[in-house]
Amino acid sequence: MSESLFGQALRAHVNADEPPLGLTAERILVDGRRSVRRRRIVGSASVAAAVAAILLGASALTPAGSDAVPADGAGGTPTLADGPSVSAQTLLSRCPEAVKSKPSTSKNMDAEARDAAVRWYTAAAGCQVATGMSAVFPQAGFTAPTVEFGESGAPKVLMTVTTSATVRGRLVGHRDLIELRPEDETGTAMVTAHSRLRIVIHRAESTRLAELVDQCAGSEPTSRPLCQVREGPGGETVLVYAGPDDSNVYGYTSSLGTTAIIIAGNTVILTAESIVAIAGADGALPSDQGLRLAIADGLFPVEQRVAALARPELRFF
Amino acid sequence: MAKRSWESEFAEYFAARVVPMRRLAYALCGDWHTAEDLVQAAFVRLYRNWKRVRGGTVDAYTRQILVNVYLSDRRNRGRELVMLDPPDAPEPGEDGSNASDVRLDIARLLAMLPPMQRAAVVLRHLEDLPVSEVAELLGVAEGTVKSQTSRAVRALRATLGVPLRATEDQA
Repeated sequence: MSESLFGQALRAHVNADEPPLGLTAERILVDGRRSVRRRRIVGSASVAAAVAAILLGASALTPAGSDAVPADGAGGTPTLADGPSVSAQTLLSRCPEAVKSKPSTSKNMDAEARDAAVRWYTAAAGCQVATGMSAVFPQAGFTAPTVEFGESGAPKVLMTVTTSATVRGRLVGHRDLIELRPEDETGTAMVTAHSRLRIVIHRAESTRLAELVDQCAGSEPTSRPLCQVREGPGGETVLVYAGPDDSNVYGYTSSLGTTAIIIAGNTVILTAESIVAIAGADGALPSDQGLRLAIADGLFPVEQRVAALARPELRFF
Repeated sequence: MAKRSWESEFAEYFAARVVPMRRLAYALCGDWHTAEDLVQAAFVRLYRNWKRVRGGTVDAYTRQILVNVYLSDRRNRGRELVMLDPPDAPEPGEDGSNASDVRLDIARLLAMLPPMQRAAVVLRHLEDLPVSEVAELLGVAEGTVKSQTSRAVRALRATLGVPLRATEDQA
């Protein structure tokens, strides 16, 4: 094998099975601005200051059942989220609006049609995300969804979700931007939650999913990871990959325990127990902070994860 | 207004470069999710320094940040995440097996390499950077880059059962 063939093989490796992109310019701009603000405040942070920031970040998360969730649009306890926080209850109270018929959108819609579309999509997305994510993370915090329209009039809904969990006596969490493109046939939306669980939701073509199921069903007992096809509580197809640590499933590394893929229509929900990420008060990435904790023991049995995630509300596509 | 202008410029650069940067990150770390984390961290750092670096060297600067973030991440992790198995759906090659076998072995080989050597191999053979540039980016001697990349290619050849030819060992 020549050097050039090696390069070709390397390129083929990175181009194969590339999942949809979960990053957007908006998200980077938001994170960048926050990072700049944070740097201005703390200046050149010492190690002690960094630790303090992390602790502040952990304490800023929203404990379940407490009144630490800020009132909608109000101040109060800061969260890792951008924009005014909104409670799950508020989002859920708007669910009836989502039941109404979906307004059409177009490139040349007038202000009234635009307002109606914004109302419907914020209600529908907020209801859907709050219902689905609250089932998995009762402590989740949200920002109010916002809607943008592309050049074709296709809507894009953005909202931030903070998830948290108590690990080794410390509240840790992660903030992530959910970007939903409900009308996008190619499907680019992705939801990820780092705290204890990795959850990735995206759209996949039916033929690709059929291949995945066939491969799982045909896997040999000696395969790594061993795959089983199961049926979810709502009739979904569930692929359970019971493999060694660091198995790679669907292009994602499962660092701990069992990975499951729930297939419902064109929606793929991948869930794996994950390295716990400690986010700073500014929501900086864990790799940026250089701090991660590995959980030695499995925290969410696969059955529990599947039961929590096999929900109609998480079928984004 | 001025801020919006340079932010638009930054957003355009992001849109143009995020996919190749994510592929580079994936080649480095072997996991798409971690790759996105790395790329996100790299672009956030780039945002902070955009006004200073925008221009001709921005690609090199972004690549430098990404590699630094990757190496730093590896050092700081209490637990190494490596990809032991290839992606779940290797596509068969035209001859029915060869391409997927090579991909499988590439993945396995990359997972076995220490972070610095992996970075050298990826920068040299995926990004097609000259040895001198890889050496500068990683802060090592050119000879180190040559020997590390050569060793990796030789290991892959051995894995694939391809006979060694001395002339191909020269970087």
